[in-house]
Amino acid sequence: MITDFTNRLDYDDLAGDARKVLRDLASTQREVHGKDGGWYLTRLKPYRTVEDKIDGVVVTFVDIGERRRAEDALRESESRMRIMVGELQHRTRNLMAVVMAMVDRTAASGQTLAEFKESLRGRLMALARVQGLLSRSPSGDGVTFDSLLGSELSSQSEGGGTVTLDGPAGVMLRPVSVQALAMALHELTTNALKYGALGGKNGRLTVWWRVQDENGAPWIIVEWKESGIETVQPAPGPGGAGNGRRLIEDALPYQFGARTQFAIEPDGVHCTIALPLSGAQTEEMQDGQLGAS
Amino acid sequence: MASSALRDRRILIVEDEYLVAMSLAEALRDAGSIVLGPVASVDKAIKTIEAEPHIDGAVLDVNLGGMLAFPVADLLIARKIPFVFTSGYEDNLLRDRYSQVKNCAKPYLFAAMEEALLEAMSPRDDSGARKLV
Repeated sequence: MITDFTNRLDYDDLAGDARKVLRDLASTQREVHGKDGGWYLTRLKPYRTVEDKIDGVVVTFVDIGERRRAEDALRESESRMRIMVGELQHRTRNLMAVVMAMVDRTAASGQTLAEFKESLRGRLMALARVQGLLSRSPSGDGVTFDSLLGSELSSQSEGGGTVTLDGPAGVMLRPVSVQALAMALHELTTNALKYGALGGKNGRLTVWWRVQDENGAPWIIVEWKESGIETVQPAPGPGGAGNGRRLIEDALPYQFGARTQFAIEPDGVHCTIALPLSGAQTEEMQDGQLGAS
Repeated sequence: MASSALRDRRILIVEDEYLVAMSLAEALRDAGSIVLGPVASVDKAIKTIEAEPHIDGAVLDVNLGGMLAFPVADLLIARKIPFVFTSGYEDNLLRDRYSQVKNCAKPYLFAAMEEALLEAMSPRDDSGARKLV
């Protein structure tokens, strides 16, 4: 009985197609979905006896599930690829906009051309490193604080001074905040090499970090403390801490609702950054107010 | 400055990238505009628009910390505030939804943004002449 297998297929009009084959004496075929989730190529042909008499319809089924699955997978991967290309385009354009703004800001600090070149190169290299970290991360997006800090500290030529790192490995940062935090760490490192704890033998730099719960949301608290040096207050203008300081005091609160503090103490820079690790920014930090730290 | 058409105009900047926001704010101030914001999130943009009785124009980044800025765009349209999108996305994402709003694709030179803003704020009438709204 034809219905014995039709009820296993999404092929309601098999009987109708069979009648049509008998009427027109032409074969027909369809790709039919099976109730088992598979796909079948169903062919209907008029059955011709040896006496050249039409005596029914021959129905053949070919399992084409494998082919359909491959086609579906290909379609899916093509659409994923289109999304990724679009996203890459978006990121690249944004990055170019950041680079252009960085050129403006660096130029606005009124350095000599040689100083401008050096600062800009340093910043571009830091941007490039963070793109590398982002693209190498297993999930495609997450970067841990320790890897970011390590990459920044080890990127610049060996300075003097002793570095102590004290914090848990594997603290995942929000992908959107990685780039700006990298730039802030770059400015701190550059500044420490030029004027601070990484510049001389007796300098000490301690970077301490912990994850804390704040109203049910995880935040990372980072403390950057330099000591053992005589602080030369960097001039606010040329090449000094001006730009880096602004990134920390203004950019991180502006973009991510971070709370930050930057002080030049008698024996070195002391900076704290509290940055949310999840969700959208909170509201109360607009004026850059610092909580307890 | 080359153009004073934006002089004394109150322009809101909604842009999450700090450096980009600061550069635009500075360029607008140089052109004589009064900068509102900049603000970096959908929430803050909506609060600012609701609190500001007088906004002449706005620059709206499409992606704000991973969130699409469409609620802000809808509010600007409801308040009849002319604005320009700025985005690293291809235009067609916006064209379907906001066919009347220009996208000043990132990265942009300020001259292009200025032109786009002026166009949004002063649509041409039938004679082709511009009229400030």
